[in-house]
Amino acid sequence: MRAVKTNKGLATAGNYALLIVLGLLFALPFLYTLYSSLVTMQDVNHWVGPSKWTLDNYNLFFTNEAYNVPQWLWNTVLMTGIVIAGNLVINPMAGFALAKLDFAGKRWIYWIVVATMMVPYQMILIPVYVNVAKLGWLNSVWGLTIPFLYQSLYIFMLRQFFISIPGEFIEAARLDGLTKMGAFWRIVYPLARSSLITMSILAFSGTWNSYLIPSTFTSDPSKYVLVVGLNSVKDMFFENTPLIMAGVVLATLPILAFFFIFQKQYIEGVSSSGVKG
Amino acid sequence: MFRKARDSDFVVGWLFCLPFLALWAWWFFYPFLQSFVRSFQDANFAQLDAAKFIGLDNYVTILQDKAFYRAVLHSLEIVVIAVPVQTLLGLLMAILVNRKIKGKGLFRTLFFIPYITSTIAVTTVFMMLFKQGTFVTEFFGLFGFRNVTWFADTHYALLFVVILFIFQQVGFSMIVYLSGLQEVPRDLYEAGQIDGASRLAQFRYITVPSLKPITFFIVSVATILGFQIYDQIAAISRYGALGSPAGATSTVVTYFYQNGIRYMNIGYGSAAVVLFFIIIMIITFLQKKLLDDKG
Amino acid sequence: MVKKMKDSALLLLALCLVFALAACGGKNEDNAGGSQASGSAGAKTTVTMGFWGTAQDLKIYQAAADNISKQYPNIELKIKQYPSSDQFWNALPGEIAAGVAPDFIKISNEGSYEYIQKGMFVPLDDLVASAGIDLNRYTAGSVDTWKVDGKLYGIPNSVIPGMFLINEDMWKNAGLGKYPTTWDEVKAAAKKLTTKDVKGIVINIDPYHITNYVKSYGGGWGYGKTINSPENVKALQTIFDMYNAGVAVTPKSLGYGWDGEVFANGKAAMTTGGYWYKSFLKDAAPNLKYVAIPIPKGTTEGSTMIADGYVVLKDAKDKKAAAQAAYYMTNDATQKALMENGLPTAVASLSPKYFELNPEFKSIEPELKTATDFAYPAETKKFKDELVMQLENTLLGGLKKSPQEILDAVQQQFK
Repeated sequence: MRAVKTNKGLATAGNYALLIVLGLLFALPFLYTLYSSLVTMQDVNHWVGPSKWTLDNYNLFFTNEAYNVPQWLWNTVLMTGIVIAGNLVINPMAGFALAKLDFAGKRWIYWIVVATMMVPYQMILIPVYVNVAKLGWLNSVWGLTIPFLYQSLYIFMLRQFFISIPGEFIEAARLDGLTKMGAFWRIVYPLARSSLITMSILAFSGTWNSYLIPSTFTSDPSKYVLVVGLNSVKDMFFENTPLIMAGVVLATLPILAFFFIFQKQYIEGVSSSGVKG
Repeated sequence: MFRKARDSDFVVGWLFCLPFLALWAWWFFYPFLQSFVRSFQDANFAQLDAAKFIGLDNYVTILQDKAFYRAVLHSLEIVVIAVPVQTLLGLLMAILVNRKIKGKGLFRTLFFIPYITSTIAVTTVFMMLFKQGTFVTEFFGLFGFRNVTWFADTHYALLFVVILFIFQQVGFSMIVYLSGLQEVPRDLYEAGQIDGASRLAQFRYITVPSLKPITFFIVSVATILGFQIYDQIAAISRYGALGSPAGATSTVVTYFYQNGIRYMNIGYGSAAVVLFFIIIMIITFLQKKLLDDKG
Repeated sequence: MVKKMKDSALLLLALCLVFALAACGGKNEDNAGGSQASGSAGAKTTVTMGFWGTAQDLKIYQAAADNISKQYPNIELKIKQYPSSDQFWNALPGEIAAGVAPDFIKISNEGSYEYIQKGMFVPLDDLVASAGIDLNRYTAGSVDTWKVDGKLYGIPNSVIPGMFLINEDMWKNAGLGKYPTTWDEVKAAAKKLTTKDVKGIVINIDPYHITNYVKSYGGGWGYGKTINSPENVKALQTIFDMYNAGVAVTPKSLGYGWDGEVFANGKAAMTTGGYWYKSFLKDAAPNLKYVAIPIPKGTTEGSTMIADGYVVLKDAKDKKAAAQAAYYMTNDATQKALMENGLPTAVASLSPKYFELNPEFKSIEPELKTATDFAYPAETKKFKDELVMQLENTLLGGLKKSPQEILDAVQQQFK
């Protein structure tokens, strides 16, 4: 009995050791980014102690009138919020239809979803730009959000998640008199909680960090999103690494916070207890 | 009867797909068609209105270009290495942080950091680490690698990109697996425990089959993203030519970017993407046949 | 079989939907065109300038835009900033199609020839007189930089020759005396400057740097005609000699992005460079003492002319107004403000002042007479990529090609 316990203790210690080593390894780039954002340009390539660290790089973002960080932050929040809201409605609906309903044309739609992921966005950027411009949506939050209210990647992902939801749920709901649509919104949607959280986390970081689209569709500094605005801070002929890194830290922290809060929402094995009840 | 029709799979299915299809048609398919038409044109960015139809000339030229095959080969190499590693490592990490341990939230966050940190920042760090004479290159020296700056060596640069790519993408696999693990019905494990199945057996006979649809998703997405890898390569070649050093990191997407965007020959670039599209489509189709037996 | 047919019918339906939507888009286009036409009926002409640069530069241009009505009451100037030149060129086709492209832009002479050849800019010769542009305002060399086939395409903004930078402390510690004037002297000095941790010279495998070597041997790219000329081969041989002797290094091999970083971190004692190294070194290595001298001679005096200027895009709505606004950007006040930011000027009367403000570049001033344009082939980007690739293949890839073979291979693609 004792031996088993010690073994278990050792295994746990081993687990922790592995986790800590891996954790440090994965945190390394961000730690280095943080470090570079705290030093001057002359110290960026080597280690200096905390006495030489400075917040000047951050100060510049908040003191220079050219950098409207609060406005950029608000633009980013608005953009990300609208995109996630759209994704939370449109993607699960399509994913559910592809996973659990049987109808003519489904295979076509499935392959449309998959094929769409394969085209590099740069290829269609110009026609999309022209579309946005014709609608008068340049320098507007609509141009940054409406085309991205769905993501075929997440439709595909949710389809794969929904496949493993037992069919009994939907049948049970239909016996209770719900329509298929009702069964989806009332039963499947709440049950798919952890996959929807995953999608939200991924969509959040993808949208928050996006650069190509916002930098192409906005040219008015008051309409910039955070990543574009922070990137406009640079010197003419070279990269001011500490300043760029400070921008990276500022842009990344909200995603980190979002992730840390939402990963707690994973609750194991909800799906099964429902069947019996 | 009427209600029945309205609640049929056909009506509900199309209704549920309609918002997606409408947005897709206008914001993806129509622009894509325009670009597709360009692939049959001699179309220069500078003067799009002067574009001329030239039939299949672009395709013929690409298929005679050695650089294109080299790029395809590089893309395949990336996918062949990155996809299995990323999938297995992601699963392993998901299992590690799915346990009931203290601080799992912190570890989950740490593992996810590279995925959300900007590629420029991660690349900068990797470039510092894989320089000649650092502990990293010396460590790899134990396995017979030469102690050189990896991204400046035509033999190692592609491997450098692959490692960098896996490092950034593995957080994605982890989190998708993590939520996949939540969906494994718990009573299956309970039943397994009653039957006295070992943990390994439970993993083999309960976890793995339940995760099959998710594994198919991760493998196909990793394949597609592996083919589309661009940011990391642009970051290591930002002071030189794309695909630096000497084209050792050229891929299908850098080939498109270089010809279509940089040299402004958008017709030629579009044709490259169409070819590239056909290649991944075939691979994804095979993967579906092999891995996904449902739906 | 029946199911398949059903599927196809649905696909057809979906396609119809797309074209219906596309038709809507078409209508939108007409509307946009209509509203634009009615908007331009006012007395003032709106001109937009596009540029990529710093926030400080934006401020200066903004001030110029606010004041332009004093000289040109009919012009309203808008400034549009792009994150980078790549971003600008990526966005431009869409902007032109959507009718929102800028009317004139600031551009460097290192890439401009390609766009001129592609017909993206308007020749200004006919506009010079009608817009009241005084070309005598600029140094002679700077106006020539913007002439292609006898036609003028740009209004000069800044101009300065390439230069050679030496780490002063390293030079003195090695007991070296007079600064080098020829590549042979550089080679000899590099040998003495090379230690365990420091290389004598860093040579970036980059067309800008290579071109400086080439010009000092009396060579040049001749817009693609003279890529493998004997002068160019000799210049490349000089570079190869220094690598082979172990006194030169590429920034990449040391893990740095560009030669400025290597120089700033004290890993190399010499490099070819330009005026922008000053503002970089000020931040990256405030304690480093360096001297700037003219590009050493190979067989003759020669270096690249680094310039930028304003060009009018072919789709500009009012080309005369655009040329006037561009001309306005070279007024004394704006040029002085840009100079304070470290930018050289092409205005003849202000040029001496630049060298007063930047005494370390005084020795470069005479080179304004001998420095010349890059003269890359019309497919400039392709040429640069090809040249870099061929050189990297040998210098970083272990392929043993001689300078002659490399330049022959490049020449073959640009007949």
